[in-house]
Amino acid sequence: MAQEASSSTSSKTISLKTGDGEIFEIEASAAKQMKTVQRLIDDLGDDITIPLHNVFSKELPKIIEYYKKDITGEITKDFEAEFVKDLNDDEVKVLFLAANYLDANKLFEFLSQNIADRLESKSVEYVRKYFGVENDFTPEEESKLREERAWSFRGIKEDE
Amino acid sequence: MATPTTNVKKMKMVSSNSNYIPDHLSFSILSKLPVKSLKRFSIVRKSWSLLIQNPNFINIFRNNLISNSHPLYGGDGDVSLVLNQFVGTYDWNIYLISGKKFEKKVKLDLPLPFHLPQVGVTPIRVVDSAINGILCIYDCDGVHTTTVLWNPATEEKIVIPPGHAEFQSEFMTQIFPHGFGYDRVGDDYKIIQHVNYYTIDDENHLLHLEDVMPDPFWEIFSLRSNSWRKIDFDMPTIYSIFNSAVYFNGMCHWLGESDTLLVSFKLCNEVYFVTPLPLEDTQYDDDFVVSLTVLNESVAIITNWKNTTSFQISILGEFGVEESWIRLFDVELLSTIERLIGAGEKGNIFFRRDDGELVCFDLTTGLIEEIGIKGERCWCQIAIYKKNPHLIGDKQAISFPANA
Repeated sequence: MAQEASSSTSSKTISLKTGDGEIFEIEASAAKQMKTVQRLIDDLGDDITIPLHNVFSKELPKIIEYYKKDITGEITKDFEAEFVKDLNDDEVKVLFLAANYLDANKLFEFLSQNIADRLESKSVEYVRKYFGVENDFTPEEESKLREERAWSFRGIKEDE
Repeated sequence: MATPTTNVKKMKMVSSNSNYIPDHLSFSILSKLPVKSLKRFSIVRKSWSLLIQNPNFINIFRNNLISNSHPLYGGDGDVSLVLNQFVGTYDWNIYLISGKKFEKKVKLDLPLPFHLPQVGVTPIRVVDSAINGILCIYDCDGVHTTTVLWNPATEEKIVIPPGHAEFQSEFMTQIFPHGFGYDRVGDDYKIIQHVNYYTIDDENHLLHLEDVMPDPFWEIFSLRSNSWRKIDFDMPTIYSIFNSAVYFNGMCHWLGESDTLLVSFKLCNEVYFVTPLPLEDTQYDDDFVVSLTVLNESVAIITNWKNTTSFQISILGEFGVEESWIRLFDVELLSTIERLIGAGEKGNIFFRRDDGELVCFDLTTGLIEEIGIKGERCWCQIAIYKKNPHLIGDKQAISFPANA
């Protein structure tokens, strides 16, 4: 077990390698915010390129951007709004899952809220597709529940 | 959250179907949804429909609700509380309170004519959200009504002109403002009030005699036009004078019909909703107290039996829908509380304790903090106050986020 005392100067950078083979640099203090990365560093040492099999070159730079801001204490509501502004629902989902994999709690909570905001007025079918889940109710069960909760469907377009 | 092994060779893959989000991750998202969406999505699949009844989930949902800072306050500091303290007849004070332990208390000098002894009770309408530090104060001595908009920070005072109420010796006139709020569509401050005419019979009941007196009516005041306009429809009127009315997000809410109904009046288009309260049969009782407040964007009722140690909080999912009330809290305290006097930021609820002390109960920590001020009866009110250095009519004074 290579357990090097990290020099913990703020200029120390860690190399991360995505599942599709690209390498990105991140500051050690930012890496600390992603518990999975930190655990890998603790095991492998901070001089080795850390492999992240489940994160890809499309999303990792965005995540790094977030934590770059985080370590300078610059995350504001405006920054967060800007951060997700041009992302569609599926792109946010990929980031959300990546944040979970990386055990990056702050980003995970922020994206959870953002996804909740995006899904607020969506239909049940949209949500099923989005989460990739199957409807395990019988048609009778479902229509009974729909009737009971009719008020929660008011104003919702069903096929969105 | 998923914790992959750190052995590089045996890295556990999150489901290779990147379309699937497992339940334990979904719940993070669901716990941040508003009540209406949550109820609707409960039919997505069976595991989700059991969700709302799951105590762990309710716990997370609750914590999210009270820890999300109210968007209208912007979290940029300078938010305090305003307290209307009733000490006794002719004796009441308004304080501005700030500090984590409510250390800073400043008693305000009231504008004319309110610092003179007045007859009757004087409710403040303090708008529960960023109506930018403007208080609407009113008093009615049975003959004259004084309503004033007041900004304590600038000491600007606007006296509201009288409405359409008639005053005659044959009957008594009751004027009761039900709500003060901001109409974002019309960029206007408005007051909604009810006028009633009555006499008092031998048993001290208020009687409205149709043939002898003019009809009661509602009227709405617009600051922009500086005038009142009668409304031609009727709504249930307030039953309890204190702690049964709030303003939030363009709507004035109050409890009517002996505190069995919630009335929600939209200021911009004058549409109103009536939502029955989720009361059990035994709770239609004078000893069962219902107070109205707003908990982080949701209209909420706080209920308790008088002189007991517990209270309950329910929030409303959808206006007009009795089934959409969700019971969120059942709290047991060590001391007896009389009644809610207001809600602050995050999970702060304020009560008058049975020894007269006004206290703050933090829903997140379960701790009680005394404010250090006592109040008589329950005729005290507390609300969030954000100082506003601008003039009341000044456009820059109003800073709402886009989706408020």
